[in-house]
Amino acid sequence: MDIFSHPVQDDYERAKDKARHLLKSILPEKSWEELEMKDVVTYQGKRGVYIISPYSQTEILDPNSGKCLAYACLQLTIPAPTYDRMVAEYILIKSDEKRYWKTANIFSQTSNAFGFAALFYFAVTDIALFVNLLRTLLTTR
Amino acid sequence: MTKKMRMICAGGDKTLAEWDTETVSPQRLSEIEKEFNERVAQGWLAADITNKKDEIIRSFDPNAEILLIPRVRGGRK
Repeated sequence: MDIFSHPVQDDYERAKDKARHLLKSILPEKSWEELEMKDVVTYQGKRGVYIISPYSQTEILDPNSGKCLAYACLQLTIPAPTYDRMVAEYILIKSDEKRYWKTANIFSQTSNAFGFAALFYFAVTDIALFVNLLRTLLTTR
Repeated sequence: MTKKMRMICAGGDKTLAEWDTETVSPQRLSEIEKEFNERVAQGWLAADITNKKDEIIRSFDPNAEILLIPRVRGGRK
C-alpha cells in the first residue's frame, strides 16, 4: 500500500490495530493501562503535563496547579490512524519538547479567556449603543 | 540480535529493513543507512524505540530499533 493512499474500511481497522499495537510497544506499562482505562496518555514534560487523546487535541496543564494552559494540535502529513499520531506526539514531547512547541499549533487558554472578555465587552457596548439609538429615536418623535 | 527499521504509513507501520547485528554485511548496513538518511533529509523523524527509549535520533544506529515517523505539522483548532 502506498504511504499516501487512504485505506478502505477493513484496511483501516487493520491499520488502527497495528497503530495501537505500535503505541503499546513504545509506552511504559502504566501509560498503556491509563490509555485502556481512560483513553488518554498523560506525560509529564518540562513545560507542562500533556494529556494526549486519540480523539481530541492535546491538553497542556500547568504542572503545579493542574489548570489547563493550552491546547495543542499536531498532525501527521499522511493519512494514518489516530494512534500513529499519538505515537508521533508522545515521542516528540518526550524527546524534543522544544520542537513540539515549535511544530504544533498551540492555542493558549489565556488568549481564549481574553477572547471571551473582548466578546462580552463588544456585546455590552453594542447593546448600550442600540439602547441609546432607540432612546434618541423615541425622544425626537 | 535482530533489529528493524520501521516506518509509519497509512496502513499502519511497515518494516523497511531487518538485520541481525551479528551477521549483517557492511554493504547491507550501508544500504539501510542510505534509506535512513534519505527519509530524514525528506523531513521524517527517526526515533530509537529500543526498550521504550523513544528518543529522536539524527544519525543511523545499527544497534537501535528504529521507527520513522512522517513529517508532522501543526493542526487546525
